[in-house]
Amino acid sequence: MANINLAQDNAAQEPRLISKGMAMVLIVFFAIILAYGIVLLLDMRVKSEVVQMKSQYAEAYEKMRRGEASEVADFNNRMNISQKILAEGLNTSEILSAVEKSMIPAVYLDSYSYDADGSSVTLGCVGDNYNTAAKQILNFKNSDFFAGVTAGETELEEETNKINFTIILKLK
Amino acid sequence: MKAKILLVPLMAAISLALVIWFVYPAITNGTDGLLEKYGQLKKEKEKSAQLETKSQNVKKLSAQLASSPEEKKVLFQFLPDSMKEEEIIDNLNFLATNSSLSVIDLSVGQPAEEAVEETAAVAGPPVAADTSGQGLMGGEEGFLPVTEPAERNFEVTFSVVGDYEKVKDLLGKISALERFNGIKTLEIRKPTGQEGTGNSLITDTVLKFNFLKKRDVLPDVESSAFGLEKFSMKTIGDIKNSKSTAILKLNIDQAGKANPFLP
Repeated sequence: MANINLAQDNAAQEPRLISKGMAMVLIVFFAIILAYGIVLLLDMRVKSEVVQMKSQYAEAYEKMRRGEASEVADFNNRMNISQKILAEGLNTSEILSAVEKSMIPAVYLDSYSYDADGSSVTLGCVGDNYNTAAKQILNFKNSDFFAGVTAGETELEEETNKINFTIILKLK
Repeated sequence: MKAKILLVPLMAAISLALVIWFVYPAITNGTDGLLEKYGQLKKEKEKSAQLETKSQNVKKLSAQLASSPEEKKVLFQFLPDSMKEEEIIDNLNFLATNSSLSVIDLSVGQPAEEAVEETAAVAGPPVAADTSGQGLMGGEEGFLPVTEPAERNFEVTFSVVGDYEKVKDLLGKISALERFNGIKTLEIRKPTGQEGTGNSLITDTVLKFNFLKKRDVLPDVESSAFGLEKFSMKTIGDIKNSKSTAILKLNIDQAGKANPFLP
C-alpha cells in the first residue's frame, strides 16, 4: 500500500502580514518618496546658493565699478578711439605734393579745393590752349596717386585768351 | 484577498506615477529643475571667478597708469577731455604767424550732439541683484546693453593769406600737431579784387577737432579694458612718432579790469 502523507507543514507557519512582492513595492515606493524629498531639499539649497552668489556678484560688481575701474575704462576707451582716429584721413601736404608733380609747365592753378567727405580734389586750372588742357588731364591720369580723374567744365577767357578748365581728382 | 492581490500592482503604478510626475521633473525639466539650477550655480560661480580676475586686472592696470604719467599726458593731449578751444585758437594763430601767414578768420564751432557707441551682443551690468529666487534661469534678464562714450567732433574754420610754400608748411605743421585734427575741407585760391595781389593765396580750411569727456557713468564690467592685464602703449608710441608739433601752453599774465569797455 502506498504511503500517503497528508500532514500539512505550512499549517504550522503564521500567516504573513505582507507578501514578498508587496514588501518590494513598498520599499521602492518609500525609496521614491525619500529620493523626492532629497531632491526638494537639494533644490532649495542650490536655489538659495544661486541667490547668494548673485547677491555677492552684484555687490562685488558695484564695488569694482566704483573703484579705479572708471579711470582704467576711460583710458582704454580713449586709447581705442585714438588708435582709430590716428589712421584717419590723408595728409594734405601729400596731396599737394602729388598735384605739384603732375602739373605741366604750361598750366597753372587758379584754385584748389579738397573735400575729405567726398575724398576728392577739384582743381581750377588755367592753360594756354585746349592742347595743354588735354595734356594736363592725361598727366593726372598717369599718376598712381589718384584713383580717378574727371575733366570738368572748360571755357575760353577772351580777355586773356587762356583756357579755364576744371579737373576733379578722386583720391584713393 | 482580492484587494490584497490588487495592492501590489496598484502601489507599483503609484510609484511609477510619482517618478514620472514629481521626481523626474524635480530633477530636470529643461527650465528650473535641480540639474538646471546646478548649471546656473556653476555659471554664477564662473561669473564670480571672472569678476575676481577682472578686479585683479583693474588693480594692475591702475598701478600701470599711476606709473606712466607721461603716456597719460600724451594721450590726453591727443584726445582731450574737453574742447579746449582756447588752446586751438592760440596754437593755430602761433603756427600761422610762425609760417609768416596772416590769419583772416579763426572761428571755433560747437560740437555735434553727444553720441553713444553701443556695443551689441555683450551683456551689461545687472540692474539689481535678483534675490527673489525667481527667474534664476532667465539668463541675462535685468542686464542693460554695454555703452562706451564716443568722441565729440567740432569744426574750426581757419583762413590765412600768404604764399603757397608757407601755406604748405603750415598745413604740414597742423597735421603734425600733438592734438588730433583732420582737414575736412581745404580751399586755396587766388585773391580777387581787393583781397590781395601778387603771389599771395587765400586759404580757407575747415578743420575737424574732437574731445572725449571723462566718463560720467560707471563703466561696465564687460568693458574690454578689464580683460587686459597690461595696457599696450603702442598707440601712444604711434602718436609720439607721428605728431611732432608741440602744443603751446597758454598762460594768463594778468587779469582784472575796472572798466571792461575801455580798450
